[in-house]
Amino acid sequence: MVPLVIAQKVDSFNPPEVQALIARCQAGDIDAFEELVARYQKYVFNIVYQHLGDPGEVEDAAQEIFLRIFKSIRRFRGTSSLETWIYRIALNYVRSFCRRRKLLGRLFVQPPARTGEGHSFDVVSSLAADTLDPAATAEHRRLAEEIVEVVNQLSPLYREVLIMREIQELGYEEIAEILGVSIGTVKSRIKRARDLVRQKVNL
Amino acid sequence: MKMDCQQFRKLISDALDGTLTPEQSEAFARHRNECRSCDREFLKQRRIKLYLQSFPTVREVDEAFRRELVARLRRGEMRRPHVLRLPAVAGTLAVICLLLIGILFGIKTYHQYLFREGIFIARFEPPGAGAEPYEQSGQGVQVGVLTRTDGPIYVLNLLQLRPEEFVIRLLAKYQTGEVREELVRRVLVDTGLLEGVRLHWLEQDSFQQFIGRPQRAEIIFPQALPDRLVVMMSGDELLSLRRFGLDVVYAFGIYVPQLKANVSDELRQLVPRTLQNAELIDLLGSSFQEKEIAPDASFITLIRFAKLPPSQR
Repeated sequence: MVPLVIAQKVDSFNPPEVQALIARCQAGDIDAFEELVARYQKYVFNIVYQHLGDPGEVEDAAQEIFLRIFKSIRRFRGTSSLETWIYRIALNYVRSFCRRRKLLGRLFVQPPARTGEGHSFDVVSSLAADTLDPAATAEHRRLAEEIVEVVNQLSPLYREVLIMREIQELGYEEIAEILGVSIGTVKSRIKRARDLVRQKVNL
Repeated sequence: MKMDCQQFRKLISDALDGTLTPEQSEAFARHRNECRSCDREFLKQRRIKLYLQSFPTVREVDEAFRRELVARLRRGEMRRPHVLRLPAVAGTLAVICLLLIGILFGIKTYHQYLFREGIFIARFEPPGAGAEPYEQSGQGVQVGVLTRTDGPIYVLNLLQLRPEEFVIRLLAKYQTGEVREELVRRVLVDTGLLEGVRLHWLEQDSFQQFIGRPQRAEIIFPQALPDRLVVMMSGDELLSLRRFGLDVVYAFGIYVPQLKANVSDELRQLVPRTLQNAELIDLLGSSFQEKEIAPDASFITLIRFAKLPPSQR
Protein backbone atom coordinates (compact mmCIF):
# COMPACT_ATOMS: atom_id res chain seq x y z
CA MET A 1 0.00 0.00 0.00
CA VAL A 2 1.38 3.36 -1.01
CA PRO A 3 1.45 5.73 1.92
CA LEU A 4 -0.38 8.96 1.38
CA VAL A 5 2.13 11.71 1.39
CA ILE A 6 1.11 15.32 1.55
CA ALA A 7 4.05 17.17 0.20
CA GLN A 8 4.46 20.89 0.36
CA LYS A 9 5.26 22.10 -3.08
CA VAL A 10 8.61 23.81 -3.26
CA ASP A 11 8.47 27.41 -4.41
CA SER A 12 10.35 27.00 -7.61
CA PHE A 13 8.19 29.35 -9.66
CA ASN A 14 9.79 32.52 -8.39
CA PRO A 15 13.43 33.64 -8.37
CA PRO A 16 15.05 33.89 -4.93
CA GLU A 17 14.85 37.68 -4.71
CA VAL A 18 11.12 37.55 -5.41
CA GLN A 19 10.69 34.82 -2.81
CA ALA A 20 12.48 37.00 -0.30
CA LEU A 21 10.31 39.94 -1.21
CA ILE A 22 7.17 37.84 -0.82
CA ALA A 23 8.32 36.62 2.58
CA ARG A 24 8.85 40.20 3.78
CA CYS A 25 5.47 41.24 2.45
CA GLN A 26 3.87 38.29 4.19
CA ALA A 27 5.42 39.54 7.41
CA GLY A 28 3.53 42.80 6.93
CA ASP A 29 6.50 44.90 5.84
CA ILE A 30 5.03 47.90 4.00
CA ASP A 31 8.44 48.93 2.62
CA ALA A 32 8.73 45.51 1.04
CA PHE A 33 5.26 45.89 -0.39
CA GLU A 34 6.26 49.23 -1.85
CA GLU A 35 9.09 47.41 -3.61
CA LEU A 36 6.63 44.87 -4.87
CA VAL A 37 4.39 47.64 -6.17
CA ALA A 38 7.33 49.29 -7.91
CA ARG A 39 8.23 45.99 -9.50
CA TYR A 40 4.75 45.05 -10.71
CA GLN A 41 2.83 48.29 -11.11
CA LYS A 42 3.39 48.52 -14.85
CA TYR A 43 2.39 44.89 -15.19
CA VAL A 44 -0.86 45.49 -13.30
CA PHE A 45 -1.58 48.71 -15.17
CA ASN A 46 -1.26 46.88 -18.46
CA ILE A 47 -3.56 44.09 -17.36
CA VAL A 48 -6.17 46.55 -16.20
CA TYR A 49 -5.81 48.89 -19.13
CA GLN A 50 -6.01 46.20 -21.75
CA HIS A 51 -8.83 44.23 -20.20
CA LEU A 52 -10.87 47.19 -19.04
CA GLY A 53 -10.38 49.36 -22.10
CA ASP A 54 -11.14 52.51 -20.13
CA PRO A 55 -8.10 54.66 -19.28
CA GLY A 56 -10.11 56.71 -16.81
CA GLU A 57 -10.63 53.75 -14.51
CA VAL A 58 -7.16 52.26 -14.64
CA GLU A 59 -5.51 53.96 -11.72
CA ASP A 60 -8.32 53.36 -9.24
CA ALA A 61 -8.59 49.77 -10.32
CA ALA A 62 -4.84 49.29 -9.96
CA GLN A 63 -4.93 50.70 -6.44
CA GLU A 64 -7.72 48.37 -5.42
CA ILE A 65 -5.89 45.43 -6.95
CA PHE A 66 -2.70 46.19 -5.02
CA LEU A 67 -4.72 46.51 -1.83
CA ARG A 68 -6.22 43.10 -2.50
CA ILE A 69 -2.74 41.75 -3.12
CA PHE A 70 -1.54 43.25 0.16
CA LYS A 71 -4.44 41.72 2.06
CA SER A 72 -4.11 38.27 0.56
CA ILE A 73 -0.38 37.85 0.09
CA ARG A 74 -0.18 35.90 3.35
CA ARG A 75 -2.17 33.20 1.62
CA PHE A 76 0.22 33.02 -1.33
CA ARG A 77 1.87 29.59 -1.12
CA GLY A 78 4.20 29.89 -4.07
CA THR A 79 2.48 27.18 -6.08
CA SER A 80 2.55 29.45 -9.11
CA SER A 81 4.62 32.39 -10.20
CA LEU A 82 3.84 35.67 -8.49
CA GLU A 83 2.93 37.18 -11.86
CA THR A 84 0.32 34.51 -12.48
CA TRP A 85 -1.12 35.00 -9.01
CA ILE A 86 -1.24 38.77 -9.43
CA TYR A 87 -2.76 38.38 -12.87
CA ARG A 88 -5.54 36.22 -11.42
CA ILE A 89 -6.33 38.80 -8.74
CA ALA A 90 -6.28 41.62 -11.28
CA LEU A 91 -8.50 39.75 -13.71
CA ASN A 92 -11.00 38.90 -10.99
CA TYR A 93 -11.12 42.53 -9.99
CA VAL A 94 -11.63 43.65 -13.59
CA ARG A 95 -14.45 41.15 -14.02
CA SER A 96 -16.23 42.27 -10.86
CA PHE A 97 -15.64 45.89 -11.79
CA CYS A 98 -17.27 45.32 -15.16
CA ARG A 99 -20.24 43.65 -13.50
CA ARG A 100 -20.66 46.54 -11.09
CA ARG A 101 -20.32 49.06 -13.87
CA LYS A 102 -23.10 47.34 -15.73
CA LEU A 103 -25.39 47.73 -12.74
CA LEU A 104 -25.62 51.47 -13.13
CA GLY A 105 -22.82 51.82 -10.63
CA ARG A 106 -21.53 54.81 -12.47
CA LEU A 107 -24.77 56.64 -12.04
CA PHE A 108 -24.91 56.24 -8.30
CA VAL A 109 -21.29 56.12 -7.16
CA GLN A 110 -18.92 59.01 -7.48
CA PRO A 111 -15.37 58.28 -8.51
CA PRO A 112 -13.27 58.41 -5.33
CA ALA A 113 -11.65 61.72 -4.58
CA ARG A 114 -7.90 61.48 -4.77
CA THR A 115 -5.74 62.20 -1.78
CA GLY A 116 -1.98 62.73 -2.06
CA GLU A 117 -0.39 66.12 -2.01
CA GLY A 118 -3.52 68.04 -2.75
CA HIS A 119 -3.89 67.29 -6.42
CA SER A 120 -5.69 64.80 -8.57
CA PHE A 121 -4.16 62.68 -11.23
CA ASP A 122 -5.21 62.97 -14.77
CA VAL A 123 -5.06 59.32 -15.63
CA VAL A 124 -6.36 59.63 -19.15
CA SER A 125 -3.75 62.07 -20.34
CA SER A 126 -0.87 60.48 -18.50
CA LEU A 127 -1.74 57.06 -19.86
CA ALA A 128 -2.43 58.42 -23.29
CA ALA A 129 0.94 60.07 -23.34
CA ASP A 130 2.60 56.87 -22.30
CA THR A 131 0.80 54.66 -24.72
CA LEU A 132 2.54 53.26 -27.76
CA ASP A 133 0.81 53.59 -31.07
CA PRO A 134 2.89 52.14 -33.87
CA ALA A 135 0.29 52.62 -36.54
CA ALA A 136 1.94 55.25 -38.65
CA THR A 137 -0.34 55.82 -41.56
CA ALA A 138 -3.99 56.74 -41.50
CA GLU A 139 -4.98 53.38 -42.96
CA HIS A 140 -2.96 51.53 -40.37
CA ARG A 141 -4.49 53.62 -37.64
CA ARG A 142 -7.98 52.99 -38.93
CA LEU A 143 -7.35 49.27 -39.06
CA ALA A 144 -5.73 49.21 -35.64
CA GLU A 145 -8.68 51.10 -34.16
CA GLU A 146 -11.13 48.81 -35.88
CA ILE A 147 -9.39 45.73 -34.51
CA VAL A 148 -9.28 47.19 -31.00
CA GLU A 149 -13.00 47.93 -31.28
CA VAL A 150 -13.77 44.42 -32.46
CA VAL A 151 -11.74 42.90 -29.64
CA ASN A 152 -13.49 45.08 -27.07
CA GLN A 153 -16.85 43.92 -28.36
CA LEU A 154 -16.01 40.24 -28.02
CA SER A 155 -17.58 38.39 -25.14
CA PRO A 156 -15.27 38.23 -22.07
CA LEU A 157 -14.71 34.53 -22.69
CA TYR A 158 -12.90 35.22 -25.94
CA ARG A 159 -11.63 38.71 -25.27
CA GLU A 160 -9.67 37.62 -22.22
CA VAL A 161 -7.79 34.81 -23.94
CA LEU A 162 -7.09 36.89 -27.01
CA ILE A 163 -5.65 39.73 -24.96
CA MET A 164 -3.55 37.31 -22.92
CA ARG A 165 -2.26 35.50 -25.95
CA GLU A 166 -1.86 38.16 -28.62
CA ILE A 167 -1.26 41.33 -26.67
CA GLN A 168 0.39 40.12 -23.51
CA GLU A 169 1.93 37.14 -25.24
CA LEU A 170 1.33 34.68 -22.42
CA GLY A 171 1.85 30.99 -23.04
CA TYR A 172 -0.97 28.49 -23.19
CA GLU A 173 -0.04 27.00 -19.82
CA GLU A 174 0.04 30.35 -18.10
CA ILE A 175 -3.31 31.34 -19.56
CA ALA A 176 -4.76 28.00 -18.52
CA GLU A 177 -3.46 28.50 -14.99
CA ILE A 178 -4.82 32.02 -14.72
CA LEU A 179 -8.23 31.06 -16.04
CA GLY A 180 -8.35 27.70 -14.27
CA VAL A 181 -9.14 25.78 -17.46
CA SER A 182 -7.34 23.15 -19.52
CA ILE A 183 -4.82 23.96 -22.21
CA GLY A 184 -7.13 22.44 -24.81
CA THR A 185 -9.87 24.84 -23.76
CA VAL A 186 -7.46 27.75 -24.02
CA LYS A 187 -6.44 26.71 -27.52
CA SER A 188 -9.98 26.31 -28.75
CA ARG A 189 -11.02 29.66 -27.24
CA ILE A 190 -8.08 31.40 -28.88
CA LYS A 191 -8.92 29.86 -32.23
CA ARG A 192 -12.56 30.84 -31.89
CA ALA A 193 -11.62 34.37 -30.83
CA ARG A 194 -9.35 34.73 -33.84
CA ASP A 195 -12.09 33.50 -36.14
CA LEU A 196 -14.53 35.99 -34.65
CA VAL A 197 -12.13 38.88 -35.13
CA ARG A 198 -11.32 37.73 -38.63
CA GLN A 199 -15.03 37.66 -39.53
CA LYS A 200 -15.62 41.17 -38.26
CA VAL A 201 -12.52 43.00 -39.42
CA ASN A 202 -12.63 44.36 -42.91
CA LEU A 203 -9.20 43.60 -44.37
CA MET B 1 1.53 14.39 -45.82
CA LYS B 2 -1.05 15.98 -48.07
CA MET B 3 -3.27 18.76 -46.73
CA ASP B 4 -6.54 20.10 -48.13
CA CYS B 5 -7.97 23.60 -47.64
CA GLN B 6 -10.20 22.60 -44.75
CA GLN B 7 -7.34 21.02 -42.84
CA PHE B 8 -5.17 24.02 -43.64
CA ARG B 9 -7.66 26.50 -42.19
CA LYS B 10 -8.04 24.47 -39.05
CA LEU B 11 -4.32 24.73 -38.48
CA ILE B 12 -3.94 28.48 -39.10
CA SER B 13 -4.31 29.28 -35.41
CA ASP B 14 -1.63 26.75 -34.45
CA ALA B 15 0.60 28.05 -37.20
CA LEU B 16 0.25 31.60 -35.89
CA ASP B 17 1.26 30.35 -32.46
CA GLY B 18 4.11 28.27 -33.87
CA THR B 19 2.83 25.06 -32.37
CA LEU B 20 2.70 22.93 -35.53
CA THR B 21 4.64 19.67 -35.57
CA PRO B 22 7.45 19.48 -38.16
CA GLU B 23 5.29 17.33 -40.43
CA GLN B 24 2.33 19.66 -40.12
CA SER B 25 4.58 22.64 -40.69
CA GLU B 26 5.96 21.17 -43.87
CA ALA B 27 2.53 20.24 -45.23
CA PHE B 28 1.23 23.68 -44.19
CA ALA B 29 4.00 25.45 -46.10
CA ARG B 30 3.46 23.23 -49.13
CA HIS B 31 -0.24 23.96 -49.19
CA ARG B 32 0.42 27.68 -48.95
CA ASN B 33 2.54 27.46 -52.06
CA GLU B 34 -0.11 25.49 -53.90
CA CYS B 35 -3.27 27.37 -52.84
CA ARG B 36 -3.33 31.14 -53.22
CA SER B 37 -6.65 31.50 -51.44
CA CYS B 38 -5.42 29.74 -48.30
CA ASP B 39 -2.18 31.65 -48.44
CA ARG B 40 -4.10 34.94 -48.54
CA GLU B 41 -6.25 33.86 -45.61
CA PHE B 42 -3.19 32.97 -43.58
CA LEU B 43 -1.58 36.33 -44.36
CA LYS B 44 -4.74 38.18 -43.31
CA GLN B 45 -4.86 36.40 -39.99
CA ARG B 46 -1.18 37.03 -39.45
CA ARG B 47 -1.77 40.69 -40.19
CA ILE B 48 -4.49 40.83 -37.56
CA LYS B 49 -2.13 39.21 -35.09
CA LEU B 50 0.49 41.86 -35.82
CA TYR B 51 -2.03 44.61 -35.32
CA LEU B 52 -3.12 43.06 -32.06
CA GLN B 53 0.44 43.04 -30.87
CA SER B 54 0.51 46.78 -31.36
CA PHE B 55 -2.40 47.16 -28.92
CA PRO B 56 -1.82 50.18 -26.64
CA THR B 57 0.23 49.40 -23.59
CA VAL B 58 1.20 51.32 -20.52
CA ARG B 59 4.84 52.28 -20.69
CA GLU B 60 5.38 54.03 -17.41
CA VAL B 61 3.44 54.65 -14.27
CA ASP B 62 3.64 57.85 -12.34
CA GLU B 63 5.53 57.65 -9.05
CA ALA B 64 2.63 59.40 -7.41
CA PHE B 65 0.58 56.26 -7.80
CA ARG B 66 2.88 54.27 -5.55
CA ARG B 67 3.21 57.09 -3.04
CA GLU B 68 -0.54 57.41 -2.71
CA LEU B 69 -1.01 53.67 -2.42
CA VAL B 70 1.63 53.27 0.27
CA ALA B 71 0.28 56.29 2.14
CA ARG B 72 -3.12 54.61 2.21
CA LEU B 73 -1.58 51.42 3.51
CA ARG B 74 0.26 53.25 6.27
CA ARG B 75 -2.93 55.02 7.28
CA GLY B 76 -4.65 51.64 7.36
CA GLU B 77 -7.13 52.87 4.78
CA MET B 78 -7.66 49.53 3.17
CA ARG B 79 -10.97 50.31 1.67
CA ARG B 80 -11.89 53.49 -0.06
CA PRO B 81 -15.43 54.32 0.91
CA HIS B 82 -17.78 54.70 -1.98
CA VAL B 83 -19.33 58.11 -2.11
CA LEU B 84 -22.86 57.97 -3.40
CA ARG B 85 -24.22 60.57 -5.73
CA LEU B 86 -26.95 61.60 -3.37
CA PRO B 87 -29.23 63.43 -5.82
CA ALA B 88 -29.21 60.47 -8.19
CA VAL B 89 -29.76 57.96 -5.41
CA ALA B 90 -32.46 60.02 -3.72
CA GLY B 91 -34.21 60.70 -7.00
CA THR B 92 -34.17 57.05 -7.99
CA LEU B 93 -35.41 55.93 -4.59
CA ALA B 94 -38.19 58.49 -4.73
CA VAL B 95 -39.26 57.31 -8.17
CA ILE B 96 -39.19 53.67 -7.06
CA CYS B 97 -41.23 54.50 -3.94
CA LEU B 98 -43.76 56.43 -5.98
CA LEU B 99 -44.04 53.60 -8.44
CA LEU B 100 -44.52 51.06 -5.67
CA ILE B 101 -47.11 53.19 -3.96
CA GLY B 102 -48.83 53.71 -7.29
CA ILE B 103 -48.85 50.01 -8.05
CA LEU B 104 -50.11 49.08 -4.59
CA PHE B 105 -52.73 51.78 -4.70
CA GLY B 106 -53.71 50.70 -8.18
CA ILE B 107 -54.06 47.07 -7.16
CA LYS B 108 -56.03 47.97 -4.08
CA THR B 109 -58.25 50.34 -5.99
CA TYR B 110 -58.77 47.79 -8.69
CA HIS B 111 -59.71 45.17 -6.11
CA GLN B 112 -62.14 47.55 -4.51
CA TYR B 113 -63.46 48.45 -7.90
CA LEU B 114 -63.97 44.84 -8.86
CA PHE B 115 -65.82 44.02 -5.69
CA ARG B 116 -67.77 47.22 -5.55
CA GLU B 117 -68.91 47.15 -9.12
CA GLY B 118 -69.51 43.46 -9.25
CA ILE B 119 -67.30 42.59 -12.14
CA PHE B 120 -67.20 38.91 -12.83
CA ILE B 121 -65.22 37.06 -15.33
CA ALA B 122 -66.24 33.58 -16.11
CA ARG B 123 -66.29 30.94 -18.74
CA PHE B 124 -68.28 27.81 -18.48
CA GLU B 125 -67.12 24.76 -20.34
CA PRO B 126 -69.06 21.54 -20.55
CA PRO B 127 -67.19 18.26 -20.08
CA GLY B 128 -67.10 17.00 -23.65
CA ALA B 129 -67.13 18.66 -26.97
CA GLY B 130 -70.03 20.45 -28.48
CA ALA B 131 -72.77 22.55 -27.05
CA GLU B 132 -75.32 21.34 -24.61
CA PRO B 133 -78.86 22.62 -24.66
CA TYR B 134 -80.18 25.13 -22.26
CA GLU B 135 -81.15 23.86 -18.94
CA GLN B 136 -83.60 25.70 -16.85
CA SER B 137 -83.75 25.33 -13.15
CA GLY B 138 -86.86 25.64 -11.12
CA GLN B 139 -85.80 28.92 -9.63
CA GLY B 140 -85.93 30.66 -12.95
CA VAL B 141 -82.19 30.82 -13.30
CA GLN B 142 -81.04 29.90 -16.71
CA VAL B 143 -77.72 28.33 -17.24
CA GLY B 144 -76.29 27.49 -20.56
CA VAL B 145 -73.08 26.34 -21.98
CA LEU B 146 -70.67 27.96 -24.31
CA THR B 147 -70.76 26.76 -27.83
CA ARG B 148 -67.11 27.60 -28.23
CA THR B 149 -64.38 26.33 -25.99
CA ASP B 150 -61.63 28.77 -26.77
CA GLY B 151 -63.52 31.93 -27.42
CA PRO B 152 -63.08 35.35 -25.91
CA ILE B 153 -63.59 35.98 -22.25
CA TYR B 154 -66.11 38.55 -21.26
CA VAL B 155 -66.08 40.84 -18.34
CA LEU B 156 -69.46 42.23 -17.79
CA ASN B 157 -69.70 45.19 -15.53
CA LEU B 158 -72.95 46.84 -14.78
CA LEU B 159 -71.64 49.95 -13.18
CA GLN B 160 -73.51 51.24 -10.16
CA LEU B 161 -76.56 49.40 -11.27
CA ARG B 162 -79.27 48.79 -8.76
CA PRO B 163 -81.97 46.23 -9.48
CA GLU B 164 -84.67 48.86 -9.69
CA GLU B 165 -82.73 50.92 -12.16
CA PHE B 166 -81.83 47.88 -14.14
CA VAL B 167 -85.43 46.82 -14.50
CA ILE B 168 -86.58 50.27 -15.44
CA ARG B 169 -83.83 50.81 -17.93
CA LEU B 170 -84.36 47.48 -19.56
CA LEU B 171 -88.07 48.02 -19.81
CA ALA B 172 -87.52 51.51 -21.17
CA LYS B 173 -85.22 50.17 -23.82
CA TYR B 174 -87.70 47.46 -24.57
CA GLN B 175 -90.39 50.05 -24.94
CA THR B 176 -88.37 51.91 -27.53
CA GLY B 177 -87.81 48.67 -29.38
CA GLU B 178 -84.08 48.52 -28.77
CA VAL B 179 -84.25 45.29 -26.81
CA ARG B 180 -86.06 42.17 -27.89
CA GLU B 181 -88.79 40.65 -25.81
CA GLU B 182 -86.88 37.43 -25.54
CA LEU B 183 -84.07 39.15 -23.72
CA VAL B 184 -86.40 41.03 -21.38
CA ARG B 185 -88.21 37.84 -20.57
CA ARG B 186 -85.08 35.93 -19.93
CA VAL B 187 -83.24 38.59 -17.99
CA LEU B 188 -86.10 39.94 -15.94
CA VAL B 189 -88.82 37.36 -15.76
CA ASP B 190 -87.09 34.02 -15.94
CA THR B 191 -84.42 35.03 -13.52
CA GLY B 192 -86.93 35.92 -10.87
CA LEU B 193 -86.06 39.57 -10.84
CA LEU B 194 -89.64 40.41 -11.65
CA GLU B 195 -91.27 37.70 -9.66
CA GLY B 196 -93.83 39.41 -7.51
CA VAL B 197 -93.81 42.54 -9.55
CA ARG B 198 -97.26 43.38 -10.75
CA LEU B 199 -97.38 44.86 -14.16
CA HIS B 200 -100.66 44.97 -15.90
CA TRP B 201 -99.19 44.09 -19.29
CA LEU B 202 -97.32 41.22 -17.82
CA GLU B 203 -100.54 39.43 -16.98
CA GLN B 204 -101.28 39.09 -20.66
CA ASP B 205 -98.04 37.25 -21.08
CA SER B 206 -96.91 39.69 -23.68
CA PHE B 207 -95.05 42.90 -23.75
CA GLN B 208 -96.54 43.99 -27.06
CA GLN B 209 -98.78 46.66 -25.60
CA PHE B 210 -95.86 48.22 -23.93
CA ILE B 211 -93.84 48.77 -27.10
CA GLY B 212 -93.82 52.22 -28.55
CA ARG B 213 -96.53 53.47 -26.25
CA PRO B 214 -95.53 56.10 -23.79
CA GLN B 215 -97.73 55.11 -20.90
CA ARG B 216 -97.55 55.13 -17.17
CA ALA B 217 -96.50 51.84 -15.80
CA GLU B 218 -96.66 50.96 -12.13
CA ILE B 219 -93.78 48.76 -11.30
CA ILE B 220 -93.83 47.15 -7.92
CA PHE B 221 -90.68 45.57 -6.82
CA PRO B 222 -90.64 42.57 -4.57
CA GLN B 223 -89.68 42.79 -0.95
CA ALA B 224 -86.33 41.20 -1.54
CA LEU B 225 -84.71 41.84 -4.82
CA PRO B 226 -81.79 39.63 -5.77
CA ASP B 227 -78.53 41.40 -5.90
CA ARG B 228 -77.27 39.15 -8.64
CA LEU B 229 -78.47 36.85 -11.32
CA VAL B 230 -77.08 34.55 -13.90
CA VAL B 231 -78.48 34.64 -17.38
CA MET B 232 -77.55 33.11 -20.66
CA MET B 233 -76.88 35.54 -23.42
CA SER B 234 -75.94 35.38 -27.02
CA GLY B 235 -73.25 37.55 -28.48
CA ASP B 236 -75.85 39.82 -30.02
CA GLU B 237 -77.57 40.27 -26.72
CA LEU B 238 -74.35 41.07 -25.03
CA LEU B 239 -73.76 43.75 -27.58
CA SER B 240 -77.28 45.05 -27.19
CA LEU B 241 -76.70 45.41 -23.46
CA ARG B 242 -73.75 47.60 -24.26
CA ARG B 243 -75.75 49.62 -26.72
CA PHE B 244 -78.50 50.49 -24.36
CA GLY B 245 -76.19 51.92 -21.82
CA LEU B 246 -75.34 49.10 -19.50
CA ASP B 247 -71.68 49.57 -19.15
CA VAL B 248 -69.91 46.46 -20.32
CA VAL B 249 -66.25 46.95 -19.70
CA TYR B 250 -63.38 44.65 -20.24
CA ALA B 251 -60.02 44.29 -18.61
CA PHE B 252 -56.72 44.06 -20.38
CA GLY B 253 -54.20 41.75 -18.86
CA ILE B 254 -55.15 42.36 -15.28
CA TYR B 255 -54.78 39.36 -13.07
CA VAL B 256 -56.29 39.28 -9.64
CA PRO B 257 -55.73 35.89 -8.07
CA GLN B 258 -57.66 36.59 -4.90
CA LEU B 259 -60.70 37.55 -6.86
CA LYS B 260 -60.38 34.47 -9.00
CA ALA B 261 -60.94 32.19 -6.06
CA ASN B 262 -63.88 34.21 -4.87
CA VAL B 263 -65.49 34.26 -8.24
CA SER B 264 -65.14 30.52 -8.54
CA ASP B 265 -66.90 29.88 -5.27
CA GLU B 266 -69.59 32.36 -5.99
CA LEU B 267 -70.26 31.07 -9.45
CA ARG B 268 -70.20 27.47 -8.34
CA GLN B 269 -72.98 28.21 -5.93
CA LEU B 270 -75.01 29.77 -8.67
CA VAL B 271 -74.61 27.04 -11.21
CA PRO B 272 -77.30 24.39 -10.72
CA ARG B 273 -76.23 21.02 -9.45
CA THR B 274 -77.43 19.37 -12.62
CA LEU B 275 -74.27 20.65 -14.22
CA GLN B 276 -72.07 19.66 -11.38
CA ASN B 277 -69.78 17.65 -13.57
CA ALA B 278 -69.06 20.57 -15.71
CA GLU B 279 -65.89 22.36 -15.00
CA LEU B 280 -66.22 25.99 -14.21
CA ILE B 281 -63.22 27.97 -15.08
CA ASP B 282 -62.65 31.54 -14.21
CA LEU B 283 -60.46 33.39 -16.54
CA LEU B 284 -59.10 36.75 -15.80
CA GLY B 285 -57.21 39.25 -17.74
CA SER B 286 -58.30 38.63 -21.27
CA SER B 287 -59.36 41.26 -23.66
CA PHE B 288 -62.78 41.88 -24.99
CA GLN B 289 -63.40 42.79 -28.55
CA GLU B 290 -66.73 43.13 -30.21
CA LYS B 291 -65.60 41.42 -33.34
CA GLU B 292 -64.82 38.33 -31.31
CA ILE B 293 -68.40 37.90 -30.30
CA ALA B 294 -69.84 35.40 -32.70
CA PRO B 295 -73.55 36.06 -33.28
CA ASP B 296 -74.44 32.44 -32.65
CA ALA B 297 -72.37 32.08 -29.51
CA SER B 298 -73.99 32.03 -26.10
CA PHE B 299 -72.50 33.20 -22.87
CA ILE B 300 -73.26 32.95 -19.28
CA THR B 301 -73.50 36.40 -17.91
CA LEU B 302 -73.44 37.10 -14.27
CA ILE B 303 -75.02 40.36 -13.42
CA ARG B 304 -74.47 41.61 -9.94
CA PHE B 305 -76.21 44.58 -8.52
CA ALA B 306 -74.50 47.00 -6.29
CA LYS B 307 -75.86 46.94 -2.79
CA LEU B 308 -77.21 50.21 -1.65
CA PRO B 309 -76.59 51.42 1.85
CA PRO B 310 -79.76 51.29 3.99
CA SER B 311 -80.05 55.08 3.98
CA GLN B 312 -80.53 55.14 0.21
CA ARG B 313 -82.98 52.30 0.01
